[in-house]
Amino acid sequence: MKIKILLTLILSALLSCGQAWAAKTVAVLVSDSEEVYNRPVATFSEEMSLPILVFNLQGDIEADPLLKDKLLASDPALIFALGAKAAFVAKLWTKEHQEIPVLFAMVLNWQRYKLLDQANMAGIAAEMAPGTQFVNMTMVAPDVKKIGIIASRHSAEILTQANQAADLLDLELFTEIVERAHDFQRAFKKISGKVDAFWVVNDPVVYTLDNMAWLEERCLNEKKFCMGQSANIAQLGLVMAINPDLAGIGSQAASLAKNILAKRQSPAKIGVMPPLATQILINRRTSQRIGLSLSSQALDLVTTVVE
Amino acid sequence: MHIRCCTLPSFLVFVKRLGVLALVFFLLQGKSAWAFSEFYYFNPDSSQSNLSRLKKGMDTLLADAGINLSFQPFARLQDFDRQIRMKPPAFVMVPSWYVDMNKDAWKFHPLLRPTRGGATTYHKVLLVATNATFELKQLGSKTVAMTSMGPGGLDFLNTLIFNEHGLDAHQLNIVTTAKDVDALFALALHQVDAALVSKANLEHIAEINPRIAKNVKVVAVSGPISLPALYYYGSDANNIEMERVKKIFLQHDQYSMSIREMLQVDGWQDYEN
Repeated sequence: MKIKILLTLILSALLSCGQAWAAKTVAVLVSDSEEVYNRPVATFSEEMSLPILVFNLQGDIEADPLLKDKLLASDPALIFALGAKAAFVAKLWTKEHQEIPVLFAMVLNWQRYKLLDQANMAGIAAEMAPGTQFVNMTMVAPDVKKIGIIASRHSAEILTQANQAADLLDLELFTEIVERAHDFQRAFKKISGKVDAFWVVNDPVVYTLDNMAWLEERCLNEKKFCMGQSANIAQLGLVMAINPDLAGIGSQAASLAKNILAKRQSPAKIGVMPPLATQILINRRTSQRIGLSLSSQALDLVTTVVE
Repeated sequence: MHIRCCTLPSFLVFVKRLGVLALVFFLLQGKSAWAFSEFYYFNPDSSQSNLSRLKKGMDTLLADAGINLSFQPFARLQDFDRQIRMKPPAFVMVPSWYVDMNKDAWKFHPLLRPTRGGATTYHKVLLVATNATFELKQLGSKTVAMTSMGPGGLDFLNTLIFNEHGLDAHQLNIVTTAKDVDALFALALHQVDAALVSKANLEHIAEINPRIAKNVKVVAVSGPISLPALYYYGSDANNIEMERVKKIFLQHDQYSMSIREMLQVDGWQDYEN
């Protein structure tokens, strides 16, 4: 009888352990009051079935000295950190509490902060994966086979990812590494004759305002399909831009959070995923000027047509 | 004093008339805004991402037919679900699984069902990377991308595809995407281990860009799912409006055909037939 009671107790303890997160809250930690965080936070909150508590660093870890205590006192089952400061602080605050998983998002160049050094950390990259950009590029312009890239050594990691994606999609990349912004035009001229399209990497060394203006003109003159990541690129006059969808980031984070909490997927196994949801912008005027005919199927994929 | 005595009653009459007019206006506005002003659309299994293009096309089609409805497409299930509860539309085009999951609260009646290739149903396919070596039963430890079907969706998917292969959707590490094609692209780029997408979308994408399709392989096919149908709001249905909406979908002019193309259907069937 005693053994039976003991077994029952152990079983209920195990069951309650598995469901422990169900009674908890999820903490959302934002770097500051930037409007850009609103949509992902709203989507994440809507899709999680746990109470959400939002904590704001207000741009400064010392703005509220009690914030760490308040956050940990809420006994969060998970922390969703938005922005570089929030991600870094969440890592710091959970150093002694690694039983609390942390998901980060909207951290530009997340590698710089060594966020994955801690086993409880996982995230969604702020940048679209090169593959996602190539795959959408070839949906809109199926004839593109050879892509030109001009970047500095700072973009080495993204170029490795680009090469892997190019292999998967049977694309050929022509990469020119330049040391200074000044070398951009020469590099463009060197590879322009060999490629069908240019892909603009987020590389501040190379893509200065002057070089972007020059590139826009050259793409039009040489009728090249030029694209990159950032809505501004299509607004400025390049034919196509791909952005991560902000609502999609919140939704993806909610999926990952559920997998960690309910299905015990380890954050270390998730690592950093690229954003899966896209916003695709096409500049119709530029597409006409470079002679790109947009098929009905291509237009179906596009989220926004810049007229 | 004399002036006050005579002007006050006429002022009151004026206010009273104004009040009656305002009330009539309010009631008329209220009726049209609530019962017959919206037409909602939600279909995550469509490869149609250009919802502004679809809205423009549908609004033009409705306006040209003199139908006073505003077309509102939704990309996310949660946004659609919230809106349909807050402000029921006159008409809605929505997947059958959404109707089934909300049948207790559902006050809409089927009007037209679409056909694609002569069929009124479609299939979902479970895909893995072409070079994947794991077995289907090992999917539990992998990440699967798919569109969201809401809280009851996993039970539906179990019946539809997973249980037959010894899998339980509740145990899978699912990452939801708003668009079917995002799940497909994520798998083609090895960002996830598997994807559940519409078979028609896979074929559609393969036609445009075979390089994407060559990176994935089908490991399971679902049972048939009804294509998203057109419903009208139950008790307040205006028969004249209903017939007019039906007519524009069934006609074969250039605009209606263009809408069919955007909705990725090739015909409509009357539910009464």
